[in-house]
Parts: sequence; structure tokens; C-alpha cells
Amino acid sequence: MSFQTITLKLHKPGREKRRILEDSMSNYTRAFDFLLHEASKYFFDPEEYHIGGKYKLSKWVNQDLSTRLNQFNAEPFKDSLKLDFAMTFSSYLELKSKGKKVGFPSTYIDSAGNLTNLRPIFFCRYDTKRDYCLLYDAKKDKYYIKLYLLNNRTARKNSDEAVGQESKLEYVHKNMFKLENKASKERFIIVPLSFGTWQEEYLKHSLENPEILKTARLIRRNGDFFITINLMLPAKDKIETNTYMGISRGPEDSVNLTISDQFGNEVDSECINLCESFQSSFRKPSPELYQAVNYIVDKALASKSQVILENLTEHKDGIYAVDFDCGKNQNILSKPIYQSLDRILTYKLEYAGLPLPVRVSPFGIFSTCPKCGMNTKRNRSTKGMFLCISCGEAYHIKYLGSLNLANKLIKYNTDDIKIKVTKQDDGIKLYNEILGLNILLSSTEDIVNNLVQKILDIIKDTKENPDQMLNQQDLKKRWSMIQKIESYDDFTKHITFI
Amino acid sequence: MSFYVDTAYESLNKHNEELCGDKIEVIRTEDSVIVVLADGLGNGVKANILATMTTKIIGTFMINGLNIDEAVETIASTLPVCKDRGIAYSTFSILQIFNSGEGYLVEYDNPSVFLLKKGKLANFEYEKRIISGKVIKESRFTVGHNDLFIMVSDGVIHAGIGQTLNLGWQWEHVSEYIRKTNKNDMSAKGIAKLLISACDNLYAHEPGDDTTVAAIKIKKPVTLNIMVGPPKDSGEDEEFIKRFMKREGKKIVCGGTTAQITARVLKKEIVTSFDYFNPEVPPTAKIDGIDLTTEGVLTLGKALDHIRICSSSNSTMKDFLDLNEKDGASMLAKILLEESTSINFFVGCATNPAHQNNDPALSLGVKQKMVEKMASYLRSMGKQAVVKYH
Repeated sequence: MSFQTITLKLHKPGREKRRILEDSMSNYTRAFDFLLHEASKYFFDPEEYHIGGKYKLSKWVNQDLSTRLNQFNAEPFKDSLKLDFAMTFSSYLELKSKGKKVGFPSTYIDSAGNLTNLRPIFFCRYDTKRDYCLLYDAKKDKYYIKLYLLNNRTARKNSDEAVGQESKLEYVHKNMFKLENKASKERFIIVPLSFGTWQEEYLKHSLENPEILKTARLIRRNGDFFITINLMLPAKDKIETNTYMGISRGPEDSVNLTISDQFGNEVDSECINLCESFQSSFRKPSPELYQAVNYIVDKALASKSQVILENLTEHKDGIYAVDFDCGKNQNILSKPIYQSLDRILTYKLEYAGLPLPVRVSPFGIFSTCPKCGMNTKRNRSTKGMFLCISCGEAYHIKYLGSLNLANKLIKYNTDDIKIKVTKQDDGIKLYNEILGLNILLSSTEDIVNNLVQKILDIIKDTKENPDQMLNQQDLKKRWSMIQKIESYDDFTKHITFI
Repeated sequence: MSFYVDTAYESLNKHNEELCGDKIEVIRTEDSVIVVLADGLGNGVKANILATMTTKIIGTFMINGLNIDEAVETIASTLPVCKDRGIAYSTFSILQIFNSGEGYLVEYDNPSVFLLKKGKLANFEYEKRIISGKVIKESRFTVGHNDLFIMVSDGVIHAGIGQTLNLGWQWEHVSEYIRKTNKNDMSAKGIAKLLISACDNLYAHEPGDDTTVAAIKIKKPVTLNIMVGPPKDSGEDEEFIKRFMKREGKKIVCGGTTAQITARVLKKEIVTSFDYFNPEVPPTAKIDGIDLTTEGVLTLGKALDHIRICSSSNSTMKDFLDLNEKDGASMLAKILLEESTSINFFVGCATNPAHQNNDPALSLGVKQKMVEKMASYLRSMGKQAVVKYH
């Protein structure tokens, strides 16, 4: 399962509808600000709101507050308002409980009572009778949005000509029933939508699977109105991978990509330039970054690759501009851009049916020989060239990182579980630091059976008492080894005594 | 100062050529070791003929103590003239190491010889002369233990051109690589193999030119004594072991029974290892005073495989890296190939009751054949190998 957001433009709403849209956004903003103002006067116990915070916070907007919201004509979006407030305020409380320096959520009203900005209207559900929904004209292949923005006081009548006439619009709903043009006052407006071919694909998908349509937000940008709709897309059939794709940072603001087969042999290498992404703020990935990710996903699909990325959160990859023999642009792709790529790639790979990327320590990927495993900076020969001092293998440094990343998983999967054996006066000691295995067996005892039983006990104990570990790092390593052990039919065949 | 001159060379043919246009000649005389490298003009058959003639002429002159001037004049007048180019040309480098410790180097148009002394790059002091219109560089020097000389053809300097490196590997980078990779316990064969492997990889396995590396290492003589099996007469065990222990150099014992007898005579304990680094090779043991104690036939067989592969011209870098494994066969092969300069095999003629009848392959004859083959390979690599039966 993956999420996708599409943005559609409300196409040339008339004067009256524009007024309704603007007034609704103003009302919503004032109502939200009112809730913030009320919250500022209340003490929120961090413990009480720590678990299930959003639900509890939405319940904090009690009957009284809910009634007082009516002064802002907030009836059409009260449920959404509560949820919107709860989501915003819970983030603030969470950061505060962790001791982070965080300011109170900004108000939208200045000291003179004027709005400084408009908050997007949050629609918490897709519904034909409230919040929002889509309508479709099959004859003209056009889409419309139905927005519940009015209350009983502000509801408006259909035009006399429309009443009684059969509507050409059908609801985007599992039953696809037609919109009725009633004589009574209606609390919604209907506006045509305009969009590009990319968005249209998802809209067509929603015609067949309307359940993918989830929450939405109405926003105003440069005088125009847009609706951003969140879609929950079903996972595609899982694809079995048989190659490995390592993606590493590189010079000239690039990522380097290497695909290797199951034996660690290089199948394909490529450099993808992300220069444009460097120019834009990393907080908002540029279209070029998305294009690059789409390209990588297509390539991973074509080669059925398991993607392996650098885990830059906890480790360094040790690569610097001086290591490359480049032209004018010596910049190594920045960590934030790489991590943005990581984030986008993760959900796109899942949506494509490929396994989630594996993040591995990038330690030594630019100084380790993929052939013999020799890891030393003396392997760096001339600028941009890697020449192993142990076996003589040669690689361009910029592709070395991605090749080593691709091969790390192969090595991990094929490496045996190592159990250290030492002979002692009173028996044989078996030891493995990661598992926390440390047993002494007499020479008359059955070593293998005892070892197996002890390992199974350790696995059970770790699952029942995960907090026994001293630090997260050791726990992670142990979990990783446990997963490896459990992936084998018979793990005793994958034990090496050292 | 006594020393052993360990020599080895490796070549790559230019891509799609069947013959190498470089030639190496190694000559061991009573008082010196001579290594000649020649690079014939062009590629293929013509270049091979030019290079072969050059090395043979020079070799003959050097063996007979004649001076370089005459060798150069003979070469100039003897080499066939290329019809297309209109010249007869071959570069050459000559390195002669005398038993006295003196060295003599001659270079003509080849890349300068690399020299490492005590792990650091060193320079030769050259004198230039003109002989038959050719600028000849000569140098005389003294050698020391662990001195390393590397002679290369220009294919090494240009490695990578048109493939991985725009300007080729270049002399400075080659010398830096040699400095980084050289280890005292590395044999000349290992060094030559590593360098040629690097060149092959830089050329992306399509060498743009004939490429040759000759490595000459000045080593301290290391004698290795290997006992394989106890003597035929068990009454001689004690005397045999004691004589074995008195010998100079490293000592290796192969065989479980042999190890037990050795430990008994020496009144030492055998400490067996639990380490199965290779499931096909039984673990080693430790006896105080013995450098390596291994199992018998299986270990010898595997060690022989290593030696056969490494001494072959088709050996790869991986074959040499495999010698660093910790199993008994790899350790035995490494000591024989990389560390020892002369080896004495003491083959006991006692039959092993465990090897009787059931499997004809496990008979004394097989053990003897293994040792003889081993000794033969080692001699072909320039080492002294002697086999004695008891």
C-alpha cells in the first residue's frame, strides 16, 4: 500500500463561487485560530496526551467549544477542523515533551484582527453527502468537485432551469449514481476541474476504484483555487528480485548506480546528475529529483533489483571532492538531497511492487575492493581511480561505492553465522558477541544440539524482553542476526566455527 | 653477506596478438644472476623476433663476461630491419646481481627500473654513454636484503590509456603503487603477478600494448626442513628427530604419527587446533620448537595443488591470495613458495598401517610422488630443493 497526492485546479469558478470559496477559507482560518487561542489557555498534560494524542486532542474540542465554532460558520467542516487542530497540536506537544525548542503554533490573525494568511481547508473524508467528492461527466470526459462549504443559513438554491432536469454528472462512487438537481437549498458548490495527464491517470483509476480517494485540502495559490487529494493506492503484486542495485553519492551532484548479479558481478553502471535538485531547497524536492527517482524505479523494475542505499543517518561514507578528478563541479551530492531521494524512492518502490530499499552502513564503500575485500585508503591510486594493493583490481572511484553497496547484501546473505570455539580446561566454550551467546560445554555433551537449543532460547528471550539490551545499536545487530537465522530452513548448515 | 636472488616475470600480450613483443631472459651463472628485458619494435611476430634476438645476444655476451659495448654493436648489426619502418629496433634493460653483492644495471629506451630499499623508493646513479649511436645508461651499486628491483616494458607505464586512464598509469604512479604493495614476505612471483594483474585491469582486459613485469628480490636465504613420515626403523626415531632439530632454518612436521613421535622425543606437548578453516584440510597442531605441524597426505596433496597452480603461467592473483588462508595446506604452500629459498625434504619410509590395502592411493609411493613433484615445481621456480629418504 502506498500514498499519492494529486493536485487539481478548480477551473474558472464564477464570481459567486469564488466568494463562497474565499469566505469559507476565511471562516475556516478564523475557526482554527480560535481553537489555537483556546488551547493556549489550557494546560495539556504531556503524559495524558502522549499516547493516542490525536484522538484525545480531537476530543478536547468538547460540545461547548464545538458550539462556539458556529460563530465562524464552521458547521460544514467541524469534524475536519477538530482533526486538523489535533494533528497540528499533537506535533507541537510531542516536540515539547522531548525537550525540543518549539514555538506555539502560529496564529493567522494579527493584533488588529485581520487575517495574515489563509489556512487550507481540510476535508477529513470522501463522502457524497458531506466534506467533498468527485463527479464525472462520461460524455465529455470531464471531472468536477463537489465541496460542502455552506451551512443551513448560507445554503443556496439551484437555478430554476437546472431543477428537475436529469444531471449529466455521476458521482465517483462504487454505485456511480447520478447527481440530483433538487429544488431545495444546497450546502455545496460544484466546480469543474482542470489537470494534467499525470493526474488524469489517477482520476481514471479512481473511477474504477473510488475507495482510493481519501482526505483532501482546499488551497489558494496566486489567486487560484486548488484541491489536493490524498489517494491510498493498493500495493501491486510483489516482484521477486534477482539482482542488486546499489545507489551511492557521487561527484558533480550525482548519484551513481550499479546493478550486480547474485554473484557480485557488475551488470550495469550509470551516473545520474541531480544538479538542478541542488539548486532547490531540500525541504521541497524539485521535479528533477522526482524524475530521477522515477528513472531509478523503472530501471529497478526492468532488472528486478533489490535497491540498497547508504544509511547516512548513523554513518559516514568517507567520500570527499578531492577523491575525484572532475571538472569544475567538485560538489559531492549533499546528504539532505540523498535522503530526500531515499524517502521518495521508498514509497515509489513499494508502489511498484518492489521490496523496500535496504539501508546499509556506507563505511568503507569507497576504499574497499569489491573483489578481495581489502579495505584501506592506500587502495586509492590516482584521482578518481581505485587500484587494489592486494589483488590489483581497478575501478573508477565514483562507481566503486555503488558496486560495494550492491554487493554488501550479497555478502551479508552468504556470510555464515560465526561461532568462536575455544578449548578450556573444563570443556569447550562457544561464543558469539552479537547473539550474546556464551556457553561452556563439557566434551561429553552433544555440541550441536546444545548450541541450537541455546540459540533458540536467546531468540525467544530477545523477543520477549527486547529492552534487556544495553543500547539500540546492539539490539539492531541482534535482530538482524535473528532474522537471518529465522530465514534459513536449517540454520546449523550456515554456522562456521572459528 | 649471503643472499638469494628471487626472480619472476609476467607478461600480457597486446589484445588480439598471439605472440608477445617483449622478452625476458633469466640466467643464473656461478657468480651472478642476470635478468634481461627487451621490447621489440611493433607487435606480434616481428616484435617477438627482435626482442628474442636481443635478449639472447645480450645473455650470451653477459655469460661470457664480454662488455656491453660489444653486445650493443652486435645487436645493431644483427637485428633484422623492419620493411615498413626501415629500422631494426629493440629496447633493453639488463640487471646483473653478483654473489658478492654488487649490482650492474644497463638501460636503453626502456622505462627506468624501479628500486625499493628498505621499503622506500630509491634512485640509481646513472652514467650515460653513447654506443653505436644509442644513449645507454649504466649504474653500479650494492644490494642489500629485501631490496626490490622491478623492470617493466612501456606497456606498464601506458596501462589504461584509452580505457580507464587518459594519460596511462605513468611512471610515478607505478612506483607509488609498488611502494604501497611491497611486503617483505612477498615473493618476486607474487609481486610480478600483482603488477601485471593491475595492468590487465587498467587495460580493462584488452591491453593496448605488450606489457611485461620482471621482479627481482634480494632475500635472506631461508632454509626450510620438512619431515614427512617417520623413519622406516622405529629404533632410529630418536636420533632422526634430534638430527632434524639441529638443522638450521625453519622446521615443519607433516603427519599425525610423525608429530606424535616428534613430541615424544622432544618431550613436548602436541596442542591440537579446533579450527577447520577448510573442511577438506585437517586442522594443524602446535609443538614447541616446530614452526608448523600439519596432518599428512591430505594436507600435502592440497599444498601440492597450490604450488602447481601458483607456478603455472595461468595463475591468477586469487591463487596467490588463497595462500593467505589459515588452513594447514595454504600455510605450508605459502612457506614453501613465498618464504623459503632452499628446502630439504626428509621423507620417512615407515608405512602407515591406516593406509594399508583398503585404498591403494594412500600408499608410501603416493607420498613420495607428492614430495618429488613438489620439489620439482620448487626447482623450476629457482629454489633449491633436496629430497632425502630414511
